[in-house]
Amino acid sequence: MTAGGKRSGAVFPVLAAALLGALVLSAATGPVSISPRAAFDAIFRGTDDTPGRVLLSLRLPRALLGALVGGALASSGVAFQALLRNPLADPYILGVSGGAAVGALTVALFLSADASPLLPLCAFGGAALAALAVFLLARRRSGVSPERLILMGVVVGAFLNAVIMLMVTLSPPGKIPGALYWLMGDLGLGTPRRVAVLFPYVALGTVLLYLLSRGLDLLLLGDHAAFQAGLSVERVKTATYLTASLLAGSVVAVSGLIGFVGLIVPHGARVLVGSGHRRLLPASFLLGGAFLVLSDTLARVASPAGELPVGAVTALAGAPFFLHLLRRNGGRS
Amino acid sequence: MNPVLSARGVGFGYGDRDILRGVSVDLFPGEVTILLGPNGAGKSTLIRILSGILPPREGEVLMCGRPPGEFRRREMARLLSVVGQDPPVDFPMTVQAYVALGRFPHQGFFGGTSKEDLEQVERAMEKTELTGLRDRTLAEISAGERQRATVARAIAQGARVMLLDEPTAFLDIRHRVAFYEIVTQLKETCGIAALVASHDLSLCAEYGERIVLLSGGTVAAQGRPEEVLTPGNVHAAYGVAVACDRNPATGAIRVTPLRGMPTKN
Amino acid sequence: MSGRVRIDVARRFLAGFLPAVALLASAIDRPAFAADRFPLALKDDRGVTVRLAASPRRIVSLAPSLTEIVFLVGREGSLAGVTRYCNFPPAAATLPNIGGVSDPDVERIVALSPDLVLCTTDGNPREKVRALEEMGIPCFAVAPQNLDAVFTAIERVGALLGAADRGIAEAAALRRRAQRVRAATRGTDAASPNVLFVVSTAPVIAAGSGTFMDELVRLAGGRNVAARIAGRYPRLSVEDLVAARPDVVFVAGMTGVERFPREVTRWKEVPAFREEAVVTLDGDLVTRPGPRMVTALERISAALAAWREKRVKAPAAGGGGKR
Repeated sequence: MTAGGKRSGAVFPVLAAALLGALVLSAATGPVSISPRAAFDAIFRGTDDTPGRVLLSLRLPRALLGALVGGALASSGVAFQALLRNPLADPYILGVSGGAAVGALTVALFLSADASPLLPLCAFGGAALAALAVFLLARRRSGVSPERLILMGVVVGAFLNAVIMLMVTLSPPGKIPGALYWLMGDLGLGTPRRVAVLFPYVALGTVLLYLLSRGLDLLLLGDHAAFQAGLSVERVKTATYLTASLLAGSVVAVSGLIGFVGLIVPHGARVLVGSGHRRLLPASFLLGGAFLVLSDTLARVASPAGELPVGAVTALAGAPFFLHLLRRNGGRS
Repeated sequence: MNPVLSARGVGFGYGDRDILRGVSVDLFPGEVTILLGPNGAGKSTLIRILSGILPPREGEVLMCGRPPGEFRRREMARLLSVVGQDPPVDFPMTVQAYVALGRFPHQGFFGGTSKEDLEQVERAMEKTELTGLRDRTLAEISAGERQRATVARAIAQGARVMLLDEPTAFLDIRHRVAFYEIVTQLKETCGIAALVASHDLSLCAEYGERIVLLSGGTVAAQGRPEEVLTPGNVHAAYGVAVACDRNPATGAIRVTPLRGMPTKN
Repeated sequence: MSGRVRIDVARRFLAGFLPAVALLASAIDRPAFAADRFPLALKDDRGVTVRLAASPRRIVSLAPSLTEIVFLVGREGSLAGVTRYCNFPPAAATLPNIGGVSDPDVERIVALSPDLVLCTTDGNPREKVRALEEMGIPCFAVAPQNLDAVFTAIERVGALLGAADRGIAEAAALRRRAQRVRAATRGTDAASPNVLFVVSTAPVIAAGSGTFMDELVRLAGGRNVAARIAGRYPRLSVEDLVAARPDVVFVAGMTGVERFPREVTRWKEVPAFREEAVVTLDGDLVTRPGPRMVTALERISAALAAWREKRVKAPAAGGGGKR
């Protein structure tokens, strides 16, 4: 079954509904029972009782954070896959994960708890520096080729991984669990303020990528063909690289390294709306957001032993689901 | 008439290795120029230099009398389209979407898809007999069909000059003839100038107004088919003994290889 | 034989016989390892029988809890090597260090020529212990899983080290202290506060059932709210804390574990935060299955007693427990 216009038309409302449904489900799930009445009162009448405060200060920020992070990771994944012309690319591939981890762990392992507000900033700074380093190392007079970017990404990533291992061995033992959970991804660090701070970055990044949609389509043709088709290839590549890294870096700063979303959601979205980035980017955002929020809800309730790391759930739950989706559409991918 | 694209004394190489030396070629509107030459003679390099991807080490390229650097990217793409390598198959792009990308120089990043855009894409697919395959992805179709799609994209781009690097390599005789017919149509109705790098010695004589024979990085011969396609020139360039005569059915030059191992140059 | 001689013989016989009987009698109702008798053979917690020809002179300890026990039974003079974490009593820190608990250095141990290695299956890597045994060094594994087992371990290690009497005495003293705590809570119809014991504050990782901390809390008369959650060390979200509403929170302090972040403590629904009933204990007291666990028990009990007192004075406060 190929994607005709009719089928693609229904996809966006369905995805938006899925995201909304996921948010509601996440907000309704948790150990403290919140009746719909209490929720209504809290939101519209501003009552300050426990269920209300749990809803507004814990559940909703966490759900919204999941939507923002999932959407941003998926969009960033789409962009990197186009930039590198590689279906296996993900947002972390070019230094972002290693750099963010070094920045975050520096604060988490070696500074006191009073310095913890600095953590997102340092994570973001680390991600930005690493991404910049990879870009500059990969650049040649002839421009930046995908192969060289991947190569430099691997090299820088390996170096940063070694630094991380060293940091963990030198750290005080009481701080290691926290560091470990950050490395596996943790939406529980969401507070209303962090969501508010993150939102403009994600909005800016996704809008910029959307504006570059046609450029991303053309990049898929190869640098020469894109050039001859009229694209200012180097400028578009640089803009894509910086925007996608900004997106990935800003969400990693707040939620740690949640894997799998940026890699697989773009493929799932392609099955639903095709390869054209004008549709692919919004679809990926919605699908990524819904997927991560659902995974996080599952992570909170699936195990009687307490919360599971959300990165483990995205992989465990997501892999079979997307495998099924890709299989069903046979030779399309 | 002024040439719409010309190379003047173009030279190119890597290090001490020369790939092209002193190449001068002119392309005129409404004319099909065939670029012939053995493998490694520099045909692809010349096309890349003409299209602006590679800067020449010596000499210059002029587009409507001005150097390519003076044009903005999209403007350049409206003037010149290139049919080159195989399109990517890693991502599921439909034939229709692929051909539609050819309209980018006319739309830009933010422009919508106009009626004209849709018409051009449709026409391009009709000419290359791809309308039945429009919803298939590039990975699902054959190499020959992909090549036709590349040609369709260039047609949809609607540029005044088309540079085509061995566009018929994977095509059967039906589609080869169809290809040359399309180019002839375009030249006659839209006045495009086309440069086709090819190995089709006979077909090109049928359809080309001018032939440029490239050998060892230099222009060995240039001119009308009967001037260029002589046994002497062909043997000097390819090391193959041929007989050249006029095809009684069409009147075009016919090149027939004679038996015997090709000699070294 | 004359009557006097008969009495003499009888007296001498009794003088010799009675102590023998007493000794035998004591041997019967005391556990076999009570006798300071070498050579001895004792089964360790793995089921491996360790034979010692004489009282060991050069002992290496592979866990801080074991070092503390060695000092407790007065045999620190024979300690030749300890781990780098062995910091109690302070004298232990001056002893030669043979590496960590999960990474002891086999070569360094062998270089000390020990005639006994005290190890634990809860933390020492099995392969390294096996390597030592293959070199002919006897290794005795001690791995108590609850407080009572700790007391028994003290007795056994005492016997193993040729300080059986001391071992028994110390264990008995510790038992009495623990009993006192238990009696204190059983005596009154005291309320049973909801207690949470955490080993990390960010993220919140609590001690669940099956841990020593859980046992100590129960013995001190508290109710461990994390016992309901599966797993020994479940991770709790802020919402879990709010739902559980612990009255008292204990923190096992270690390097790197600090106060709860402000975004957690601002939830005043949690009585422990509202009443500022967060007590930090030295983590070593609750993570080392050794003599100082009883100290921890006493401190926990004292904190809970303080909580009860506060409640008596201000009974309006909410909270868990039976009345």
